[in-house]
Amino acid sequence: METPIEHEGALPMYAGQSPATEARKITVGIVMYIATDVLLGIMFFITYIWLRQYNTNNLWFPKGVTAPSSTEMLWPTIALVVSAGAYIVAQLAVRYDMHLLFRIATVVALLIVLGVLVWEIISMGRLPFTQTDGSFASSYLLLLGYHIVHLAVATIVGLGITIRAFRGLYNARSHVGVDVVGVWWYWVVAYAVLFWLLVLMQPPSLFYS
Amino acid sequence: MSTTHEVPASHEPRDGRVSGQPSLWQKLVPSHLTGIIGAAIGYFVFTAIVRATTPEDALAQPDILLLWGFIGLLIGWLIGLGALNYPVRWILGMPEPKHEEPYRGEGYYRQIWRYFRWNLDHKIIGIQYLALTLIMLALGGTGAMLIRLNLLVPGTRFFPPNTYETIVTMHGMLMIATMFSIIVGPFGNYFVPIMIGARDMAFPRLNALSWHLLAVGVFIFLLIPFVGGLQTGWTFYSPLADQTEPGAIAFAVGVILMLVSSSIGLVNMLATIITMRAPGMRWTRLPLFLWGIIGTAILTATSAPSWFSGLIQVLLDRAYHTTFFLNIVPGSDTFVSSAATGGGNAYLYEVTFWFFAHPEVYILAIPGWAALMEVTTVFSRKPAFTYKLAILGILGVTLNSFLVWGHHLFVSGWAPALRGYYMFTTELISIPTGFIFITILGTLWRGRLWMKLPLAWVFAFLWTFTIGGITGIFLSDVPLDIQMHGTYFVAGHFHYVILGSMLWGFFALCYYWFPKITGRFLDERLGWVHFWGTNITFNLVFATFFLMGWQGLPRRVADFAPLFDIPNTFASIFAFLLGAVMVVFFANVIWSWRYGEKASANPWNARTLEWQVPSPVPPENFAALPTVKEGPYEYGTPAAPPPPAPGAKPVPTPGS
Repeated sequence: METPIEHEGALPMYAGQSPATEARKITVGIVMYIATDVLLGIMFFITYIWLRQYNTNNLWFPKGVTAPSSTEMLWPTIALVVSAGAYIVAQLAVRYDMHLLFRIATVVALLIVLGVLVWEIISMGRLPFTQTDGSFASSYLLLLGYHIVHLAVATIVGLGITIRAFRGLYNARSHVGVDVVGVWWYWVVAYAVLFWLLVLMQPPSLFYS
Repeated sequence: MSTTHEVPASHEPRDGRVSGQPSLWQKLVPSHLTGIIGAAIGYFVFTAIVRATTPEDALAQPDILLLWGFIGLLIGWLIGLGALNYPVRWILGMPEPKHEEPYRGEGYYRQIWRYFRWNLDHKIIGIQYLALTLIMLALGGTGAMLIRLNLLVPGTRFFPPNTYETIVTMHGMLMIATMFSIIVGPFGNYFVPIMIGARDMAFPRLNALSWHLLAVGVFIFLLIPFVGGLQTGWTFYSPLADQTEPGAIAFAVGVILMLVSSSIGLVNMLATIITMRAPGMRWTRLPLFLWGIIGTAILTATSAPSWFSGLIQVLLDRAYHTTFFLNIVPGSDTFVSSAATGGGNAYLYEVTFWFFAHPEVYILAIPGWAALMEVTTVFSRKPAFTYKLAILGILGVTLNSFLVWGHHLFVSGWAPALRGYYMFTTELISIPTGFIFITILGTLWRGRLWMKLPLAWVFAFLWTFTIGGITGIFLSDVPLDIQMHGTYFVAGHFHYVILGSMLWGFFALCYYWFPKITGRFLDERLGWVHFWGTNITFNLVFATFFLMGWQGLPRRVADFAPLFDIPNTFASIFAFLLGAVMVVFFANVIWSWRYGEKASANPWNARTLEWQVPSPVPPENFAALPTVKEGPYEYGTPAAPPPPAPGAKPVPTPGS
């Protein structure tokens, strides 16, 4: 008779699988799920590029519509990169059982993401156009909305990681939850960087004004 | 034990299991009943919030209300089921919820109501999938009967054109969704963990979520006739989808949920196969059915996001007047999205759709092929001929199917310069498909054929898929495709391909694995009636489609020219007979589940792991994890079970 193993998030029915197998299973599975989400994000970028390239009826960027400021969006993007750095620190700290540093780093990462989430929601309402102002406006808001949803998810799971960190549920031997949430975290940050580079670094009227 | 694998025979209950009977409260809270109550509450709460917060002119069309109502319905369904209890408790760092404990003693485990709740056992989920996909098959089949009824005689005597188009749309999408799930849902969920020697899926909760998303997605989809209908066909082409009735919202939300469900379920299976194989279960020892699951999972996970994105954009176009697909000049239209400025592009939808929908053909076909290869070896009593070539075939089709989608746009005017490329890559796909045929034919060749129903469906597949495949080569040629596009020839082709691979594979697996799932055989006499009845009527119906299509009869049209009177009446009569034969199959499943002849644990003397455990499979699958010592099809070795005598019957339970 096997002994049920105790492992973060696992049910007793997995008895017989080693903790290493458990960690590998969770990591491989979650990475594949996130990869599927990445593909969805890529499809949204393809939408942006497609509509821009076609510029149907010259309505990609109608006259009278003002482009969003690239510098305004730069600071939240930098903040998110800093949050990713904080999360890396958290991942390293838990591996060495440095619990105080682990907790501080998760709190910092969480607060930055929460701040950017609030900022993006507010900025969405203050854009110089609405979703009906041509295909640029539609695809811009689609890309931004997608990121807001992802930031919201990052905030929720980040909150979970932080609470669990304060409850002492992670240590050097059991930290797969921290790692897989990290994959999500980096994807959300990478998306913000890509969004800034692809959409905001090139003014939308660059080719058609 | 007819194998050299080390599979412990004991299935003693493990320590720590909660025994005894559940109370009525435990049975009902949470359950599907509370889920339905939650869904109703969610729908009304969300629509009330939208009514209160949205300007009145934006509510002139019901699209926003429907969209948010369906979102509320989904959230209410999940809350009512108790599906969100675990995530909330995880965030708070609390132990997992009690109602998710999979084992509560045999008495509890055996009761029927376990199918009507959030259950994490992959076998329960497999049976939930079986029930749901059979219901979907019956509903989709009923749609087919209604279509044929309208086409029985000329003149649209039964349904007006708009209603007819709604029926065509719902039949098409429901059947596609059914075929998407009908093998990987029931049999993938039930058998993937057992076939690799594991106790469950990698993510049991996501597995349960997958089924419950499909169920609610199908429910929302079935609301289409009640919210105005939909005339787009299953392709849901925009800008028509942007401008048609509000049924488009039900379609888009329902299909998005189906896509998410499939992606979640299949990625879960892929993670399970990659990380949870028993000791000794090397990649080259995986049963071919599992290779089919791998190919399907890769295809689904990589292609589904494409149509997902297209459907999201249709929803936004309709509900929030964005312009992803509408190409209109401001102030010049009376369209639903008249508030929009324009600048959208209809090709974008076609591309997002077909980048998913062509691989989706193989998402339907590959599990069917894999299922048929699986049973071919068992009933030929031979190792799979060119096992590695079969894997290459599956993976080759998987890869190639991403390169061919443009052939659906030959007549749309998009990228004419790429026609030659897409014609070439489409024809190229016949090579890896040929590997599958080589494996099946080579395994059958000089095998000691045990002519039971599963093998009969393999032969039926060889006939139907050959016709489907060859007509597919016709359609991949640009000149012929331009001539045949949108005709019944295409309808005949894809019915031969999809039914001939997926549904025939499903039937083969039903007869093959039913004894393992239920401990009883499907009735063989009724099975042969089903087999011959299906194959005769199917060929008479859909061969007629080729003839009508060759003469130019267009698809999705409610009426037809007098030229097509006789063939349409002929096809309708045999379609009704096909429907009647399906009733025989359904009756057989229901009757045999309760009263069928009892089966032993391994009635086919098969060598894969699922046959080395009792029937029905115990809650934990294996008392201890097995050790795999050899490949799945090592027939003809000294350790292999002896081949059955010609005409032998499967092994019943002693004393039954």
